[in-house]
Amino acid sequence: MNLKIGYLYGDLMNIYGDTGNSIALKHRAHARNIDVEVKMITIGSSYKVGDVDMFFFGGGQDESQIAVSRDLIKSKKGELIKEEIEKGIPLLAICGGYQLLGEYYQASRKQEVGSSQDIRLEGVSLFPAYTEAGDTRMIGNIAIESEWDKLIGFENHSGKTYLRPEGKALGTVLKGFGNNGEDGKEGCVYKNAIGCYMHGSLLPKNPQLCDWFIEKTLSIKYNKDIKLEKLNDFFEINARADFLAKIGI
Amino acid sequence: MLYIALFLGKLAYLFSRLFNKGGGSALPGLIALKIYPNLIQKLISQIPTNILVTGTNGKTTTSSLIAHFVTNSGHTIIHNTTGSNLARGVASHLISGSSLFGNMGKIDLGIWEVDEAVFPQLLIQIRPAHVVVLNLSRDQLDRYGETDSIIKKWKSALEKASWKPHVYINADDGAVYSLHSLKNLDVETFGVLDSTVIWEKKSTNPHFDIQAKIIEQRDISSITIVFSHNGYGKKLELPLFGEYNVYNFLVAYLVAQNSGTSRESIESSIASFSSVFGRMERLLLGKKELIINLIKNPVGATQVIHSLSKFIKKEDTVLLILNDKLADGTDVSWIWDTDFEKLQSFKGTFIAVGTRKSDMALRLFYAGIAKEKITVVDEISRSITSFLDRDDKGRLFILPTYTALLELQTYLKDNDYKQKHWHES
Repeated sequence: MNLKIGYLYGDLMNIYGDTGNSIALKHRAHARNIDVEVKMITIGSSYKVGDVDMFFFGGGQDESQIAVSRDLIKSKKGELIKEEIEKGIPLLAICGGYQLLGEYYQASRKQEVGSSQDIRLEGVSLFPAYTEAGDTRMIGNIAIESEWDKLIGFENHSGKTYLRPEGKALGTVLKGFGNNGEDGKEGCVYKNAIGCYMHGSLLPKNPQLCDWFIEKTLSIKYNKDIKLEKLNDFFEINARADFLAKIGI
Repeated sequence: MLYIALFLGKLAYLFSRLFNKGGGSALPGLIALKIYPNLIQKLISQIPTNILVTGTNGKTTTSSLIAHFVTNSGHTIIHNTTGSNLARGVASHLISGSSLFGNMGKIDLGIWEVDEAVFPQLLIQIRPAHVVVLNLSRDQLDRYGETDSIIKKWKSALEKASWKPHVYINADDGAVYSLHSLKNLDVETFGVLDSTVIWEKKSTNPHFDIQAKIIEQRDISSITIVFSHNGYGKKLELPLFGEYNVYNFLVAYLVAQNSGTSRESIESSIASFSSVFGRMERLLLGKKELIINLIKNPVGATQVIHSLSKFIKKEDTVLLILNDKLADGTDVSWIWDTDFEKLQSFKGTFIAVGTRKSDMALRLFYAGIAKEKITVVDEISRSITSFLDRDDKGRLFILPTYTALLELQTYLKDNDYKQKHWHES
């Protein structure tokens, strides 16, 4: 079996160790003799429906984010990705990637986002969520309770994301800020797409979520229920235990 | 007020030396600046020439190289260290160098290593004749913010510098090279031909005023280069490790020359330069060798690992100490952007220590290193004593983050493994 990951704008959106997510996907797939190919989908590269089996989208700096927002809309990649997500193709988006897959990112008037007319970055409206610029940075270790057990990571954002009433959160914050530091929720789940603020990297220290992505992706690709064999997660379990002990959970 | 500030600052300096609290590099400045906020300008303006060195990686080595060259040619200098590269640290050094009446005496050159985040403020206070910008990459994003916004702040600070400093920039680093279009300023560039250093942003078609080509890295303490500058060329052996240090040498050469040190003097004194605290620092304990090199961000750590991978042997051990204290950056995500995969083929063993040791072990495991080769140890001391107890020729390569380097230093000194205590805090 093989798995093809589309790394969305990986050359521009790869801040805070998000590359670790594709390292984890590869590592855990290889351990089950599953081949992994990572295809970069970025400004100027072509993409058509069916090219990849799952998507990954990381965070980036402000200027990269402006360019990516424009490209998602202009090149129609955003629409095509959305079409795939509707069919159940899995996606993981972190921070900037998460924001751009929501409805919009609203910068405050006094904040400079590129040139002065760029007050609002249009999103893809995949997640029923929108983001507004905040004036304090939400930085630190984060842990949430989710369907995938506890998820742990590191957040670093000033944008505050709010879910629409129909939006389903990824989990409830145990420690940290989450989507907006106000409602105790973190991330958003839509079909098999997950968006959140958790860097860290997320997948290495949350192997259960990593395996879920691999299983889901393969099950959809090969149109049968695929269960992965268990691995000896010695290092992963230790890293989780130490992290949770550190933050007092 | 200046006298009171100086008096209390000096008193704080004495006390911290007396009780050995961090060698006295921050507290005196902190106290004195509270009493007399203009202290830095007041004292530093007496020094005829000041040199400021900033950038993400290489500040300590570069400023030490400059200090080495100019001292050899007879200058009397004042020079701060890594642990004191914020305003309070600069102030502390000035206080210890000045008389009680605020007189800087015979000091004719100030060499100031400055943290990238405080560069704009300290540029105005120091008013340096020479400004060195080494490189810029992500470092502690939780503290400094993103590189795009840092470079914007640097640019506007430099353009506002009314005294027109001479600016030296790394032409291979795309982010830094964008400063070459600075208005109304003299800019000199340095770079390495066919460089294999991976920059966060690579520059396109850079122009070099001084350039070097690497001939050979013979072992971990000798690199041979040929460099050329204004039609002059020379082959030189540098007692340095890694391509990234060639950049540091080139700019130190330019600055020393522009501060009145002759080419001959620089070229003959380079051989006696010894490595700086925690920068490929070599220690011989009995027959066992320890090599210590700080790692603190993905670009720097990747460069160190790439260079080291060619020189580590199967009998060696690599000890990684990952801390997540404030001075290290509380976000350890950067280890996932560091190319530990390059160490896959290394046949020896790895030890992970530090407040985030289990994250480090996981990173190594996901880099494709076999489980049996990775050991997690609770204490730095234990990892070193067990290495010293082993009866073989293997060396211990220690790669600590900043606070881990300080812990290591204290441990080595407390156990009489090391005589000299570097005053960093």
